[in-house]
Amino acid sequence: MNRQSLTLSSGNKGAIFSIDVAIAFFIVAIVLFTSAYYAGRQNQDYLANLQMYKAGYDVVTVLDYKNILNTTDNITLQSSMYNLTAVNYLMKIRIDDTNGALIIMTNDTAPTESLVLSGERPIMRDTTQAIARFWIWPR
Amino acid sequence: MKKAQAIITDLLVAVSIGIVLLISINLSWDYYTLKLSDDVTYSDMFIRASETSEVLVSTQGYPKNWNSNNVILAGLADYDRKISESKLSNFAALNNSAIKDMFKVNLYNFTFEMKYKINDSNITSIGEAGNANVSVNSRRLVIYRNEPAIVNFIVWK
Repeated sequence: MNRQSLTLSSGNKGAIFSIDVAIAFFIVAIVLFTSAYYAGRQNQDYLANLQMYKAGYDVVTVLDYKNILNTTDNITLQSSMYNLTAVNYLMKIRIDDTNGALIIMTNDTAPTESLVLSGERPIMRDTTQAIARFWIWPR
Repeated sequence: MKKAQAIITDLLVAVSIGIVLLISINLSWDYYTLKLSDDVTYSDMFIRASETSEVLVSTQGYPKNWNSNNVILAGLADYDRKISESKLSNFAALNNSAIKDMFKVNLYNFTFEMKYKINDSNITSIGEAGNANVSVNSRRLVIYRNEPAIVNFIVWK
């Protein structure tokens, strides 16, 4: 008799315990899969961003070698930049003197609501030092 | 007797829910394991392609004046992103397995292509041919013979 009431009691408790375990298991599974999804996605985002960043530096470096960063003509800088930038990206370039005063800048405006990466390269414009800054973002 | 039936019904419902839950978790687990494995492979290929192209277009290699007999690490640049004609021809003379060993891309196949930006005319193309299931291209802009050129280092399998 004593044993029977014990069984009934633990049977009820067991049911509650099983629901607890099921819920816990479910939560753990959701957390695990969500983490795996975002971890994978973040890694791919990082790699894509690295590629975009290198593409930006490539364009500014080649423009420097071609002596186009020396120009005072905004249109020349703009069209040369367009010609060299890969089709999946857009760029903006701004050249400042060492005091931060603007020398020349392309017309595009970087978007505010999507990812924009930027970098800079010290350059020589004739005999004076300057800084070429670039912004690059996906088209 | 009634109590026993109720317990069996409960048990059946619980077991059914449990089985559905287990199957769905198992399917999800398989899916994510496969996806994670694909992601790991893709990331590995991407990093190798990216690092190899970086070394090729940005460094002189080691030793600095390397040739096909003494090369330890091939770099094609005279200056950062300015490709040397002699280094490019030395690189083209290397065999594919030597390049794969050098850049630790033995697990995959690779293709190195270089062409002028202005008209897409081919400068050089080396590496392996075949059908790729997965491929990653590290595309770089460089200067070659004072003209903008595109370097594609493609890792594929």
